[in-house]
Amino acid sequence: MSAAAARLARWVLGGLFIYLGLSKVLHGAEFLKYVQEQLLVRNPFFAGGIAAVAPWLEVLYGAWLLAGIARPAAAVIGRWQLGIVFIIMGLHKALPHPEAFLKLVRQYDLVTHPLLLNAIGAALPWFEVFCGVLLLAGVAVRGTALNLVVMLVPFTVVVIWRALGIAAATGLPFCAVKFDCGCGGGEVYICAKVIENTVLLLLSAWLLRGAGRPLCLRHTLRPGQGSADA
Amino acid sequence: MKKVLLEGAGVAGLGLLLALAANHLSPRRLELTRNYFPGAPLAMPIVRTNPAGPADGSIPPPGSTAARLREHGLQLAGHDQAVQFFHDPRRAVEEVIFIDARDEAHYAAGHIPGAYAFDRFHPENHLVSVVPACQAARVIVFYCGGGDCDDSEHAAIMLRDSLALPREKVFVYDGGFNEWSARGLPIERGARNSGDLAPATPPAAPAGNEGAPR
Repeated sequence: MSAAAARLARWVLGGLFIYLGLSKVLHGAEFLKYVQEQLLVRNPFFAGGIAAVAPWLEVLYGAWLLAGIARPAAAVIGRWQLGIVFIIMGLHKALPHPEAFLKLVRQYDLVTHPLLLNAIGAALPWFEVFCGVLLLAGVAVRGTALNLVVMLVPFTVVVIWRALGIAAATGLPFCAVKFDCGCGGGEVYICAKVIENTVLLLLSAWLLRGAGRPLCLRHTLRPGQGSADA
Repeated sequence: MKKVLLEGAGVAGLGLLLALAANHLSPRRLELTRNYFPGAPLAMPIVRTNPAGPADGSIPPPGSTAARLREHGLQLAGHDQAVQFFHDPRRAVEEVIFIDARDEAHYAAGHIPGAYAFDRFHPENHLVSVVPACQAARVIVFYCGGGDCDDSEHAAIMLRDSLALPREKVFVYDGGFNEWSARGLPIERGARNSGDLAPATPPAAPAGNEGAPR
């Protein structure tokens, strides 16, 4: 990837973070409900605090990326964010009702064999948690990021495909389609989901390029690989 | 690049092994070899329309809930018929029974009074009570949440096929608990026959609707 393309990707990522943060600020009540019901933060004080602070942290992080300063530190924050997101999403699917995730996977009608369907329903959530832990700890970061890219691209395609089906069946505009895609966050508007996945994909690609090396337990399993904190 | 691919493959392999192990150790694990969706593959409707099919008794259109149930040898119980079964005197002697196919948390929060709990993803917890009840009953009405929920259909197929129940006594109440509670019909909280009866309050109705009818 050329330096210009990397810069463009960083700007897009920064812009999307700002967009996501501001949209949560503008829809504060909905985000608070998400924190309480999906992230299971029942304490009103903590839920309110998270709902009030997290969106502005996203805006701040987006501005940081746009400014292009202290990029290695920004990449580490990005790695931690990605890890936390995958841990939360994975646990949300795995507990307490993995069968709910199994049903959602089945709705895509891509896998019909019970063994394969069950294997996806059983393994995928915990695999996401595993990847999240590796990213948080900073172990095998590029290999983990590669796995995330390999998962995120087809998942995003099938989510869009299903949303198109719902839009065609209901006559709703594409961005008005809201459904539980089995992504681990309950019901979401499809356009918001696509933006979120784009952010996760760009963060993963950034790590895949070798960014986020500081504060890693073991960035690379086998020594001798270079990094590119672009 | 080759090293990254190898590292990725290693992460994938180890991750999948650990993920399957975590699932195995989880108290809510999925059994890999169990068919959670028995019977022929059921096409999931994206949006349910015309659930009961035509009112004149003709063959329901493809894709409707009625057509899908018919395809799997199940009978559709509309809301009126479900209410009729609920008020059937045979319910008192358990010749008419309701089976709630939702999970235990939803069941405890509210279910049709007297309904048996049967979380089909954890049938081992319920078979002791449900099997003899199904064998003795003349009418069995399965329900879940309604809408896109199809747990009632799968539970009905699972129990009907494993217990060799006659097809004519198995019904699926398509509207499910959501329709039941939305129409203000009585609900029971907690365990079966807990005595904690109350009418559900329709969403638009004012709060404080007192007095359980039974």
